[in-house]
Amino acid sequence: MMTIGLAHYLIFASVIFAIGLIGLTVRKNIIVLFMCVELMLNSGNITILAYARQFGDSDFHAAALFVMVIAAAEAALGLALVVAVFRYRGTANSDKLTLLKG
Amino acid sequence: MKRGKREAKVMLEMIINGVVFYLFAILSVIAAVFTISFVNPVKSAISMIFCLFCIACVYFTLSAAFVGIVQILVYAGAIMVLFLFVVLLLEKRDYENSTEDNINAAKIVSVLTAASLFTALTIAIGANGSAAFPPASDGFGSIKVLGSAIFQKYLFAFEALSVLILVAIAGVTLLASKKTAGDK
Repeated sequence: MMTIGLAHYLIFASVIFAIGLIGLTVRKNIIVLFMCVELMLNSGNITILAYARQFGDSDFHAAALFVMVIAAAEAALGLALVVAVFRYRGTANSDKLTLLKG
Repeated sequence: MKRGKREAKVMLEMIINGVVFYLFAILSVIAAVFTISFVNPVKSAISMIFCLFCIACVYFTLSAAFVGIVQILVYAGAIMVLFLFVVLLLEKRDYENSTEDNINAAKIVSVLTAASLFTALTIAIGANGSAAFPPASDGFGSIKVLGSAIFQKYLFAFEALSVLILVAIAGVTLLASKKTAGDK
């Protein structure tokens, strides 16, 4: 019997979050790091929507949409930063960006 | 007779939701793993698009159809195209001779940390058992209800977000223009 409930969605969200966290710490390319941040934001959205279904409240959906808007703004700003850094330093490798290293 | 029909419909919906959930959850986890394992960022971005699409299909099983459609349009469409543009703007050689393949202590520690986080979350979630969702009320997740929530209850948050977007546009324009400090 395939009854799925809140726990399934929460575990799915935590899988996505863990994959995003691994990617964030393992990868070096800044653009891929941004993709991993987007993955983690999406796992948060899955959690919000699963609780929306659990409590039967559509207000959560508005919250999920607002999270998406903020993620879009964050991606645009972050990618502009990446382009600026690339123009200035000539690389998108997070290991070579040591400007703030003491 | 009518009640039995309704129960059968609810049962069918539950089974379909289960099948769709498992299918797209597994697909999106695979796509997410591909996203973080491809060395070429273009391939990463493509599998990320597929992953976001599968997550949108998971949203559909939560009767969040509008949020799922917005996810496909905004995330898989607009944001990931922006990512692809930036990937294609940056030079190709930058990732070809990168050190992504090195396995060092820091990577092992990070994978272990993420794995232990996942295990802790799973144990904490699993301890509460897995009951099915209560039946959704009529109009749950519909555009009508969602629109009245956004434009009445959360109107201030909505307007504040539009200001945030405006600030983001100004910031991006500043960062991307050639006359800024980053270019001297």
